[in-house]
Amino acid sequence: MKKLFILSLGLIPLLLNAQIIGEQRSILSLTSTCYQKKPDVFGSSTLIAASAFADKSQIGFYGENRFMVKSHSPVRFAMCVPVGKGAVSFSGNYLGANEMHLYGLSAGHGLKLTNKLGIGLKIDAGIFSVSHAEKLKMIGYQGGIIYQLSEKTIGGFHFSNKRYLMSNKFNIPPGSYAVTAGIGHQINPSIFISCEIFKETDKPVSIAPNMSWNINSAINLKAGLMPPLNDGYIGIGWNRKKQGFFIGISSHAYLGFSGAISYVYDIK
Amino acid sequence: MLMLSTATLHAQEEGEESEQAVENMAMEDEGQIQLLNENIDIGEQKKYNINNVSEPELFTLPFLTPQQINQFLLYRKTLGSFISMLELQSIPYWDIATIKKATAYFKIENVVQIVPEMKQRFKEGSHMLLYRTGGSKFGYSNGSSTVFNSSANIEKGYKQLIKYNFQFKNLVQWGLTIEKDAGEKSFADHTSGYFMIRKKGIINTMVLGDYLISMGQGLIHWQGYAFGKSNNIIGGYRQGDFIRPHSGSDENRYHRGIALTLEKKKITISVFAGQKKIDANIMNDSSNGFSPSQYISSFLTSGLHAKESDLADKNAVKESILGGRFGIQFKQLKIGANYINTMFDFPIKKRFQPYNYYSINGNRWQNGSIDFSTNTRNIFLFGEAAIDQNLNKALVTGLIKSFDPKVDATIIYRNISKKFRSIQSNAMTQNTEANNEEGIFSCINLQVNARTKIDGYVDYFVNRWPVYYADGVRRGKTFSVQLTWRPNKKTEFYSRIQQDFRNSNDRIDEDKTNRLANTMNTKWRTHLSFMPNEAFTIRQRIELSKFTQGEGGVETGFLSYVEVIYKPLLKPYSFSARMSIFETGGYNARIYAFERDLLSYYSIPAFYDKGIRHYLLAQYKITKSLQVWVKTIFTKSAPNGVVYGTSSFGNSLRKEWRLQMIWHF
Repeated sequence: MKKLFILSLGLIPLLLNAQIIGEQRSILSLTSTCYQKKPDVFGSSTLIAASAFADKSQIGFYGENRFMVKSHSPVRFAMCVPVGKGAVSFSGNYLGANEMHLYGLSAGHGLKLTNKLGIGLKIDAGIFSVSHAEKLKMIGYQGGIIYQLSEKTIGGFHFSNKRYLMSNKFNIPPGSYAVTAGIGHQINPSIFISCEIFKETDKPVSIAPNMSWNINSAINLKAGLMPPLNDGYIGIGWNRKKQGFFIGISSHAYLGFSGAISYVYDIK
Repeated sequence: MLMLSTATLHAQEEGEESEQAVENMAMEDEGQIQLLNENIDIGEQKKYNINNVSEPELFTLPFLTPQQINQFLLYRKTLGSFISMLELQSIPYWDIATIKKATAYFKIENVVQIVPEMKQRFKEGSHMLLYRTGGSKFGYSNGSSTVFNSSANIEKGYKQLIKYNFQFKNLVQWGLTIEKDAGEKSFADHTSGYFMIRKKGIINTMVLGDYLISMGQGLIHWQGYAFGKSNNIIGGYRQGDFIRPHSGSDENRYHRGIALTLEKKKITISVFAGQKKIDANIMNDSSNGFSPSQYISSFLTSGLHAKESDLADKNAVKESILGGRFGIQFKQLKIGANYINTMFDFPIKKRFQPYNYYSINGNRWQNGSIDFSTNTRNIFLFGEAAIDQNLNKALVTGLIKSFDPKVDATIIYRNISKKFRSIQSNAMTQNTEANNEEGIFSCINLQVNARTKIDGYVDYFVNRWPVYYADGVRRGKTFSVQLTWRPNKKTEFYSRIQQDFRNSNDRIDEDKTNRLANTMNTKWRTHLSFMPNEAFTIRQRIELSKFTQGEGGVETGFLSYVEVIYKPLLKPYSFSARMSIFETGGYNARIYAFERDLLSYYSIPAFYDKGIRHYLLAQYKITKSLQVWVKTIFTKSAPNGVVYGTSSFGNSLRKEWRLQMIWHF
């Protein structure tokens, strides 16, 4: 019953109303790293413009058990490599189980135009399949801009648009989009706050504040709201030399709890 | 009027504050944007000589308060000509922020007392030639291909505007305008011209040809655009020349004939007379079977003559006007008496509706008024009291006070009889026309510190007789609060909440009396402007809206855009590009956003339904005297997605382009 409810919330609208696959934020609260001066690999691949300021090569893995439902739990791999005046990033996503599968691949480039201004562009490709139904192929682009308002404050804007290569089968209207705009501020060396507004076609606007607190050089706490459903989340991270671990939990009023882990490694 | 021209002219050059003013104007009354585009002066940013800039010219600068203007004039009168701009710091009420803005508009030159002879005026003036064109295309997209359907395009064809003018220091000016809207067959669907001289003997101003008349506070006659409610404390004060040449492309709302102002010491006498044909809808009244007659059911102001029905209404009515003004100044007090008499060759007879019950009837209408302004003890007082030919009364009066160099406030009170009527009014009222309204408007500007400013206004109004869309007594209030933060020279952030409450019909049905339902319209905007270096400017905005009517009918709206402006120093070119994304539940939750455009052209589209809009604007200075602008716009939206002025479209794709060249010689 719960699966059916989740299916109706997430997957049926996907087919009928062109909900954009993969735009949901994760418990990792990627907004908390997008608007930091030195974004991590997930921040770089989520808000592609943020990668313009990435200064080290990283790989990352993320897994989530969303609402404790296997078929709705994403797995993600990401890599970011600084090149020239910016960085390139790659990511892969998988969501599904049993008879439903969603695969996605992305490649993007962030370019630093000035010391305070960066832009980015990413291409997404994906396949969505449900047994006994024709596969839905899609390709899309994401673009964004990021700017350092001051030493401590960073703002950004991000836009994504998916085009369905076989849209007629599903009667999906073209032109669906998701847009985010956010700002992050480093209050002091330990505390970073950010706020992001998230809007997706035919969905209400959601506003997501986030906070990150570095308790010491190794341990940090994160908490906030996660668009588009505005689930509350809290998590703890542990950094050791070139490695970073994170574990978090979120709660939705009707859908229940979700759990997530991530791992990030600095290649150099 | 000049105030408004200048304020908005600089919108394209100066950015945030002026753009907000123009956006507010569109939100209050979309028709004002048409007036703005059709009456704006074209040219570069004006710079006034600080040593002879006049009081009316100072009022054209929207960031100066009456107290600052008064102190400026007093300082100059007491201590003589300025030697350096640094002296502005010595003037009371002039803070650093004001001085910084003012220096962009001022220059220092020695004052030459001799008024140039006519021969010199004609010899040393400069010419300007403008050519503007543009077109649009509509189409549909089925996801994989796009089909442009020209037959569905009611605006097919190109718009064209040719303007020429000659000017010598605002002392001699003449010009010619030739205009054609999209879809119109004639190359010169509208032509307009004028000749003006100023300051020749006793003649202060004389215009032959086409001109505009603006009286008092706009109760009885104000041609051209005007600001409505805004956070600008002088936005509600109407100020400008009584007579101005009509250099714009408005095809109906101007006069053709002669206008003259004579000035002797502290007395000015103005007279004007004219006659021209205007567009109107003429109906046949056959109720009297023996002698059927014709009457004017409505005046048409769009200037569009693309269809047969438009052409049938073109120049259908002859309008004759006669009027004048007597003005006198006693120290700081200025008083004027105004009169205007308008005649038509057919009687006016509006459709029978409750809100038309007191409308103008007959083929002649007269109005008179007395207006004043004075400045005393840091209080600037102004107002206009008017009557119509049936002795119905109207009053607008207000004051602007600087409580402190950091605190300015204004209060404007209006009380206009439900029976009062005038032709081409444009006062500080809720209704488009000045009639049937009582209200009080108050605005405050608070400079918290060098970086932070809080502005706000509140307006209460009541229409005691039915108005359009309210079949009963309509009451309303509007308020706005804005926080502006400028952490450094290169960054500006503001967040604003605006809310409008009123009661209006709960449905649209003109054949029945409708119930009134409470409506509330809330808008929350957050805007950021940032310069990462000298060449780039980034602008980002998010605006949310919510409209509720009665117990149901909720519409929400969202608009977000990001804009990049590239304007390298010492280079002859500049570019700007913007992507806007919007989604609203309907037209009531529409959101307005100013767009950069060709010089002296304003685009403030209302975004509704859902879609995406991109534009690219390029400007190139080919030579010192020749500049070119190009703009392309692409909008993809759900049916009925975006409205431009008065024409809407029902297709999902729209491509537009505009080109403008200006040659100074």
